[in-house]
Amino acid sequence: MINDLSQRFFRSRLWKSVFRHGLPNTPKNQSLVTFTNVFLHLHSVKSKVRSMRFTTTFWAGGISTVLFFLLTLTGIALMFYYIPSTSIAYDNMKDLEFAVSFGMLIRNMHRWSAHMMVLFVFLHMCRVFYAGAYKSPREFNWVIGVVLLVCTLLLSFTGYLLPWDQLAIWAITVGSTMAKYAPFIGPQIRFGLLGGNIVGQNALLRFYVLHCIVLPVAVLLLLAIHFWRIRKDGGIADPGDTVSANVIM
Amino acid sequence: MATNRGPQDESALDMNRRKFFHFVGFGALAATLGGAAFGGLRFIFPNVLYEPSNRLKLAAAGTFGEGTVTFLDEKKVFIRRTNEGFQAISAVCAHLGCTVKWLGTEFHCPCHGSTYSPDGERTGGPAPRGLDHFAIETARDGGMVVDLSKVVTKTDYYKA
Repeated sequence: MINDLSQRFFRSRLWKSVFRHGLPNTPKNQSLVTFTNVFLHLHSVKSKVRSMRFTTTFWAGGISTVLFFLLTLTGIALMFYYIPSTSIAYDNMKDLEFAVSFGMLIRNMHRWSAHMMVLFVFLHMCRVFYAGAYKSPREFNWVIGVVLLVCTLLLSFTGYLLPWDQLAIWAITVGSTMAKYAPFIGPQIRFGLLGGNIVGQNALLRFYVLHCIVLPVAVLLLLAIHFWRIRKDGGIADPGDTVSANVIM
Repeated sequence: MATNRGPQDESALDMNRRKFFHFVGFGALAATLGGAAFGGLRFIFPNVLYEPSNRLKLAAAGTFGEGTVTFLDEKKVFIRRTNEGFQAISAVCAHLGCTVKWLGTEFHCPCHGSTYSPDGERTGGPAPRGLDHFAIETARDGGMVVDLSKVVTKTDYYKA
């Protein structure tokens, strides 16, 4: 009877309005599942076995992406209990640690994922470099990757201020004073970064906006282009693909 | 009847109606984008700041003994009194902004090890220059006021 009910359900108008293909029990339907899904279709329908192997990429790029999505989810969760105000930010952080159920877990996941993401982005860049997967026609994707690295580091930098503790204030004091050393426009860069002359409320709010909206949106856009370029250039590259550079000229 | 104009028929300015409209059209777009970019950039630089005051009223001159260096934490400034008078020396390290400490004979920065002589001159470490000196002015009631927005040369002593 259950079999009969489920058969009727999967042939019903309700189901077919959402899923425009059959169950993935034929090669065609298996392809359509990926091809017609907005989330899945950024990935190719079929991939080489070699690309999936651990020793080809050490999964460093994939791990970096998973960490980014973990950071987004834990970050959104933290936002329910955090206010970027100098008078209350530190207390909010303490509450998340000790008063919010699973708050310590979410906050620690966020912190550890951040450190791990910096590490794995670096390892991913090492793998790409030593495999020669930056060579033509993949040079532009390497540049996008460098910008993604800078965004990752900026996300770490802006996020570090948000707990508003001693580590935060002095790290940003040192960092913003380093920015002041830039030739000609250094002091203006520092003024615009902090929204003033001191590391105070304006700086906290700016860093919050950068950390939660501007930089994540930039990373998402760059990631989309980054994956797109890999698809268009024939999938994950290993030394066999780049031994003779396919120069675009 | 001249209906088909070739390139050689154009004026010495090399301009025709099509080129003119291209110029005006793209020029308008460039001006709009330039205006938007300027507006966006100018927007993020604040005009009004809600920051603490740059002026600090000091205690009476008699409370500062001669030959002493007193640290005022709220404004990160040292008040130094010698037989020549008063100096207001910044406690912000000239290297990267940490608060320097007075060790009795010299200033020392805990962050990266910059050291300064008692009058704020750089003596070692990565700091590119010495500590700033701030102006000390006379208040209306005769007391001393430090103005942290005015940097003066270190030979300016305030005589109480």
